[in-house]
This record gives sequence, structure tokens and C-alpha cells, in this order.
Amino acid sequence: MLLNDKKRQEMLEKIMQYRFAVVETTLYLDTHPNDCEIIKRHNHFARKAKELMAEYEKTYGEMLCIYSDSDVVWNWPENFPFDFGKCCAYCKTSEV
Amino acid sequence: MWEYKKILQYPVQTCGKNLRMAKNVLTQYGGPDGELGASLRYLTQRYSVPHDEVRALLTDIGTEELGHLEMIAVIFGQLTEGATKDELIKAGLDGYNIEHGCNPFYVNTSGQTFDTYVIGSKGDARVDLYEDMAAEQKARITYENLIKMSDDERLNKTLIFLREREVVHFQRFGEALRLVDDYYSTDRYFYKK
Repeated sequence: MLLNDKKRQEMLEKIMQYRFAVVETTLYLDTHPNDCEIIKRHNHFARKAKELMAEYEKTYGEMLCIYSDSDVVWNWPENFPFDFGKCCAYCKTSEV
Repeated sequence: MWEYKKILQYPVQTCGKNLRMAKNVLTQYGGPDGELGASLRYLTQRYSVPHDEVRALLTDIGTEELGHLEMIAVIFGQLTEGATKDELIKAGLDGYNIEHGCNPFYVNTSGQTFDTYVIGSKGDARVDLYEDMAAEQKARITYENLIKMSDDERLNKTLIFLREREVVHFQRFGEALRLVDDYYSTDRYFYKK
């Protein structure tokens, strides 16, 4: 789902890239636990992903509810990555 | 335990409403070789595995598959967005709509519901890893068949990403199988005859 907010979409995609690199190095390291070079890269990707997610959360609210500080307003219900509100015009019409 | 993150693994993009492909991609949601089956298979196989590496791999890949399940759901949502009654009927989705509305459900392309009989978990690391490698191949070819049936370039980009993951998982399971084979072929006697 593309967001209308271009800056936010770019940030989200950057986070996706680093998170993906973390997933990929994790799977590789599961079967190659002694590959020091990849452990270094994994650590770099993991640190970058953490930094970027913290930065994103400061502006756009929690991505991971329980460990983030919430302001007075409870904004966890906002910004889920799916929205089927408009998915099927037929479902949304009241006429039968 | 698991924790939810409000982010997809990879951005889902499509060129909009396409009920024919919406119906087709459902098989990767709840078909025999879809993401639900993959996730359920790996996450239940991991409990009795005596090898640390394999236990980790099954947990990590089983978790990633849940993320793919969510991506397929979002694809389905985009492909059905704005569908009218006539369009649903024409695409053969009227019965589906009566049962499940706008939500994705665990069915294959012809509407048959998911059954755990399609996945295997035998409690033996080598046997299960062979099953997992076969499963990744079946999922890969299903993605390739979907891509061949689709004229939506954006959708195909997303499907190509998911296909690629099946290839990587196949490779990792193959490596895990090698580790287990090596373990059992090592001489563990404490004295030499």
C-alpha cells in the first residue's frame, strides 16, 4: 500500500530494506554460524534498522506497541499496513 | 512468543482491481503450497529437533512465512478494491463473497479450504527437511505459474520477490539437511577398535 506522504513512504521503505537484510543474514547465519564477516554485516544492518525504526516511531507513532513510549493519546490503532475499508464496493453498499 | 510490527516485509503494489488474479493469488494464502501451510509446517516441526541450527532456521523461516501471509492478504485487498456485484459474479467470486466478504480466507484457487493433511511433520529432522525442501519448490512453481497468468507488472514485481524467498529458503533447508547428515555420519565412539 503506497502512502500519500512521500517522505514517510521513503522512510518506511528504507526500514524495510534494512529489516530485510537482517532477515536474510539471520537465515544465512543459522546454517553458517561461524562466518565472522556476515556476523559483522548482520550487526551493521540490525543497528541501522533499530536506529531508523526509533526515528520513524518518534514522528509516526509506535510500530511495536509495548516497548514504545506512548504520549497521552493511544495511537497504536493507527497506521496498520493494511486497510480493506474500500476493498469491495459491493460490501460497502447498503442496497441489496 | 511473537510480536506484531506494523510494517510489511516488502512493499505491496498492484495496478488495481483484478478479480481474476485476486482469486488466483488466494492459493498462496490458503492453498496446499501457500504461506499458511508453510508457516504452520515449520513452526510445528521445530519442537523436537535436536539440532540448534535447524531449530533456529525453522523458527525464523516459519516467522517470515507469516509475514508473507500478510503480504498476500494485502495483495488480495488491492486486487478486489472497488469490485461491484456484477464484477464479483463475472469473476466467479460471488459465492466467495457470501462466505467471506472482503477478507482473504484460507482457500485455494477453486475455493477448497485449507486442510493440515497437506503438510507433514514426522518428528525426524532429516525427513522433515526433505518435506520442507519439497514444499519450497512447490511454492516456487506456484508463484511462477501465477506470474505467467498475470499481466499486472506491479503485482508481478511483488510475486517475484516472494518467489525469490522460496529459492533462498530451499537453499537454507538444504544446508540444514547437510548439517544433520554430517552430524549423524560422524563417528562418536570414544575408543578406536
